[in-house]
Amino acid sequence: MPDRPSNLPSRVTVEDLLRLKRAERPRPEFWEDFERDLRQRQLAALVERKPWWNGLSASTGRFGWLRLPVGATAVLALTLLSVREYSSSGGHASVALGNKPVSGVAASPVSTAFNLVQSAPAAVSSSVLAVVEPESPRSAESSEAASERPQVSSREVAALVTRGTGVDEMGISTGREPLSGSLSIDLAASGTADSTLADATAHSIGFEDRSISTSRAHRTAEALPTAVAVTEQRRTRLLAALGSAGVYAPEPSAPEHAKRSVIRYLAEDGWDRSMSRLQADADRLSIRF
Amino acid sequence: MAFTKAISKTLVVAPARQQQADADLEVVRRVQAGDVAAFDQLMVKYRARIYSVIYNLCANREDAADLTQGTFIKTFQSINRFQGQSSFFTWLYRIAVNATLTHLRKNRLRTFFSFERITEEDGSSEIIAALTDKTGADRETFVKELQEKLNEALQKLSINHRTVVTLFEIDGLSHDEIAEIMQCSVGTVRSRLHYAKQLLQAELQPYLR
Repeated sequence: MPDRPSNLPSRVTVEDLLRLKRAERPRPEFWEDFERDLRQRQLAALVERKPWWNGLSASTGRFGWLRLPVGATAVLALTLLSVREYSSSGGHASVALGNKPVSGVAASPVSTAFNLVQSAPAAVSSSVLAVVEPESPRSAESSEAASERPQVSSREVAALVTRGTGVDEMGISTGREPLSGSLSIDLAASGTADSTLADATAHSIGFEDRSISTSRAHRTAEALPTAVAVTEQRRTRLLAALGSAGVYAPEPSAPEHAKRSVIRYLAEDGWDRSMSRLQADADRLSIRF
Repeated sequence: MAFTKAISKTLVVAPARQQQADADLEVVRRVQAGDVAAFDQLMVKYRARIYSVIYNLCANREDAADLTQGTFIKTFQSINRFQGQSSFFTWLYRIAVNATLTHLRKNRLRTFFSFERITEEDGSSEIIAALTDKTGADRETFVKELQEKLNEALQKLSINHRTVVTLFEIDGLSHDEIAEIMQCSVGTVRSRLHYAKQLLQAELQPYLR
């Protein structure tokens, strides 16, 4: 083993090894290329177009520490503003729907019940208003009287009217919830054919007094089942008359249709053809296709 | 707080460093006044050190050259914003370190080493001689192997730990300067340095005598 030089370190540490990294240097000619490339990149950087927000961020660089609090405040303000706007618009809508007095609506000039019948709006609330709206010229004086009475909202009237009726657009009782527009159409048909029904309905929804009060609404709820029963009788009578004349032939229901098809099939020779495909031997059954 | 920090900085900064900072500031003022050619003085003065820091952080000489050029271009472009609140070299180092950290985070999955040759000066030859004397291996092969192991061990450190080790052990900056460059406390710098050295010691145990 060769003699150890006196200047060699007796112990090699991590710091000594890391000092070796200082000796990792590029050759001198590297710096010539480096400078040339740097000049080229500097020139390229001069002509390079920067996006507009670079200048903005540079100009606001001094106030960069304000970005976070300002941004957070802006987001908070926006959120509060949105919530406030949303809640205020929702509040107005509920007031308009819930607190609109019927007496004000009753002042609308609609002269006859026939006009009422011709309008068949789709929306429940608007059709109920149409039911309530028909007025004679006496409406001006009656509106003053109505203002003294307890006011009923249009929504309550709609609930009362739709609860009492069970008729659809063809006047046929169905399981689904009836619409007041349907009631209008049914009234049109019954207005000419059955004066009793028209009278009962008009009475029930307060046409006589041209206004609606709470007591009238209760009477409406009591009278409407009677009107429905009358409608049912009339429908049965009409269907029977049409059926006997051969004009009306109701389409069979699905189970009835299937039953008829099976009967027709068995009556024809299709069954025989099917059976002829089967051939029974002593101990086997063969099917011919 | 700022006053205390300024006092401590004044006490810690060595006179030589302070002179150097003053000289740099003078050159920077000239560049800001329109003497663009004066920037070359700053570039020639600091290019090797900046390159060394970046190279030791990313262990790739092509990337290091590219990032060093980018650092000087960015420094030149924003030199009008330098107000002299810190020394120019601290500001320059901060730009270089931030650019390198951004590059490393972007290319975390792409690791490719290319090393510079170890020049046997500044005491490195004694360390290599001591190691080869003990192992008895071929010198050139041993130096190459040691360089690879050393870089591998450094790359196993996290970016922040690697930066602290590079700035303190390789570039010879003080704790305060590193804290200013990395924008953290001196305690954090010391803690990171201690932890990084422990890891390096474990990794490089076969070479430690």
